[in-house]
Amino acid sequence: MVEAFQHVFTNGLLWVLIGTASGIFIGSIPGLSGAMIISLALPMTYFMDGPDALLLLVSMYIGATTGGLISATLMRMPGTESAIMTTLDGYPMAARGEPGRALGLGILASFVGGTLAWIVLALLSPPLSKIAVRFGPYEIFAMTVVALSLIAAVSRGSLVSGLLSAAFGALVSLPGVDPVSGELRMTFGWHALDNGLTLLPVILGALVLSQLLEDSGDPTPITRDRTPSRAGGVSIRGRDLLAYAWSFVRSGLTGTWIGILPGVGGTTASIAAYSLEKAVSKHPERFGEGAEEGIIAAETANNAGTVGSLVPLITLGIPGSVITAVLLGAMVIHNLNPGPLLFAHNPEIAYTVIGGALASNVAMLVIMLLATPLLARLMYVNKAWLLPPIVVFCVIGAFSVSNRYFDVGVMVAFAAIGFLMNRARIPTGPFIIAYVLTPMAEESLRSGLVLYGGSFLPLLTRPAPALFLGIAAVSVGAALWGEVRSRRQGQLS
Amino acid sequence: MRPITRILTTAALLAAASAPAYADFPEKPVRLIVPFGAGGGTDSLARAVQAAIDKHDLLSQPLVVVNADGAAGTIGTRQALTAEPDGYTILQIHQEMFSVSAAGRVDYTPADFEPILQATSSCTFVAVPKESDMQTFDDLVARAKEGNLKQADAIASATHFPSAQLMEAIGARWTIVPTGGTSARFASLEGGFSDFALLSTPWVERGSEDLRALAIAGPDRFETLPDVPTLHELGYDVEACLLRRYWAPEGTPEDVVATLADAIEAALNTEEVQEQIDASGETLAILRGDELQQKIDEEYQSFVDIADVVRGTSQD
Repeated sequence: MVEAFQHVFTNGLLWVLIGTASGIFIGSIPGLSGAMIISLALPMTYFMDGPDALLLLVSMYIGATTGGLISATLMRMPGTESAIMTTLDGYPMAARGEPGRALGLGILASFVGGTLAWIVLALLSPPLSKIAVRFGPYEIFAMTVVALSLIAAVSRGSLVSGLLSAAFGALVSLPGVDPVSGELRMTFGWHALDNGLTLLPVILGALVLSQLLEDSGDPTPITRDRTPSRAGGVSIRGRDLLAYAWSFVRSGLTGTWIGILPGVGGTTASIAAYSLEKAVSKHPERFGEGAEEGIIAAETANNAGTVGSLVPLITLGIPGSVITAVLLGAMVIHNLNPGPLLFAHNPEIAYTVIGGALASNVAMLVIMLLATPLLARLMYVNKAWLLPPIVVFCVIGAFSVSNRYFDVGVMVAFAAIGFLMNRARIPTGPFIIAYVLTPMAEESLRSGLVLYGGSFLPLLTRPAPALFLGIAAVSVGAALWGEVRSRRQGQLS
Repeated sequence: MRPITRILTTAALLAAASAPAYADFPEKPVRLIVPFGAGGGTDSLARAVQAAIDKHDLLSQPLVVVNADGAAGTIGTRQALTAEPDGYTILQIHQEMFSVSAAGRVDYTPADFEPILQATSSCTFVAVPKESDMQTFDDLVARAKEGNLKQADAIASATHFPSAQLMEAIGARWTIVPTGGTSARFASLEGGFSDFALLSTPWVERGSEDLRALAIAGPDRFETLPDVPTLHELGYDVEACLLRRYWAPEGTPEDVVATLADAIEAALNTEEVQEQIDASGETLAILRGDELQQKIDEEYQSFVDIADVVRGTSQD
């Protein structure tokens, strides 16, 4: 173990730095995703030593998860899928003249989330992964319902349009291969739709390009008139750590646990943590307007989820996401068989991954702190310089999904849809949340129905699903009650 | 025209007439479509073959691997299907091509492609959780006949078809719990949500503390599990092996197919590719020409024959 750690912090450090820096860079560019850079880097690692290859790839993974917050905060365009929730509060805070503070909170949260999850990874991997596999389809379904219940909370004040938006998101997720029977559905015999409307093109269209359309109407920097006094410096403040201690801990643990679950990743982790934070907050109305806890929840949970997803990978050999599947491929190619025996047969590999996650987390903090003062100035750059390259990267990103132009067309269509939704004041948040979570909810529910012979009863008799559904019911109830009360108050005044 | 020129011209004309039209193939890079994502078994083999062809100059032009993931491999397969049959677009896929076709999910069949070469074979084994009371394959058969058995699998996948053949051979039906790929099946076994699964060779080692192998679904016993009998030995004529094959669009000239097959076969026989095949727990299973065509025809027919049972065990 000592030797493995020594390697990580000496010869391996170069790979950690290269991986983290390139991950952050790629992650910060809307259109280019972490999965893409890791897939591209994989063939190159064939010629490297096994441990170095893993260090490079793990660092890229952690870097890319973090990099997404930069464009999410400064431009309201998630650089990666897991930074979607960061746009909700990061951008409003940056737009009111505090980009340094917004970025600082995001960086601090990423570091704290990564570190909390790392402690779990280093100390509790084997027992936790045993518990995680007992999380069956109904458990996953009920947990997804909790995250979906956020829709009601996000749509507060305009519940009807919020629900409409969510219903549309769920609908968009349906065409393609039925996740349970494998049959094609809602493709209307059009083979281009066989793969459905995939995540990257839809998100790039609805969130990135639609924002870009909005910006090109007025390309002048949004904060031009504000005094950039606090913007230049990054403000990572020690006292934030204390003031929001519980937010960090709640989001970190939620994110880590969701990351550990096989098949669930950082995006769901940040949606769930955000929904939890909003539910327990004393001032939920500030969420979406630049609330500190909003940024903290989103960024703590997605980094915690990233590190957490390494747990089932190294202890069971189960990849939870596209990226961890590539990491698994890298391990197999280097003849390193992950699983329960990894610690027995190749402990140096297990500890290299664990050490690498820590080193990359620290490297991420340092790189981001050095880069942020420069990055924060992006807020004051004329967007005419920024938008054209983003379009190019988005086209590359959408094309790369299945190596075809159809997905570029999907992206453009959703750019128009997103733009029109913004203009019609229909919130896009519920659309994206429903779109991301519906496939998981559907697959786990139907898988559970097959497993339990068509019975819904285990949803209420198994402890975890019952608990989750209870939480979801309370959360929806609170949102409805709030809506009713605010309407009454509106009528009174 | 001087005699020497005349002779040369005649020779050139004769050569042009007799030599195949594609003598110079390839004149530009060849695209190899991998219809799955990066890092999986298909992708790893394709990348290794590509690197070996590059390193040893086995083809006069580079081979370029393109990932076109989606819809159980059908997105990438369609790109090969509709490509010009000139050998510049080829495909690498296992029996997932047969299963989508036999299940009636696509309008193409293996007959719409020219097989180039069969490269490797990756056989599965019947695994139960260690704490399961099923000690032998006979126990599993007994449980199946009681009607109390759940298998973790991906519906209508390349392993669901052999599973249906096994149901037919045993004379019983059981529930297929839709989980997905082998790692998700392992998670389902570990969590106690299903009773058995067909798992690929890497899980022999990965699962050695958690799983018990009851039978090998391949032609031979595994070296790593010398005491576990094959299904054939137990009297069930069923195999569940992923056979990785290279394909060209229908109508690709024979000599072009042969040039590609030569290059890929040479690549498979290099030391680097051999090492990687070993590391992935697969075995070399080279087959080409008529032999390959015959094997494909038989195998596809066996998929078509069992498609009703597959449909019957797919929940909608």
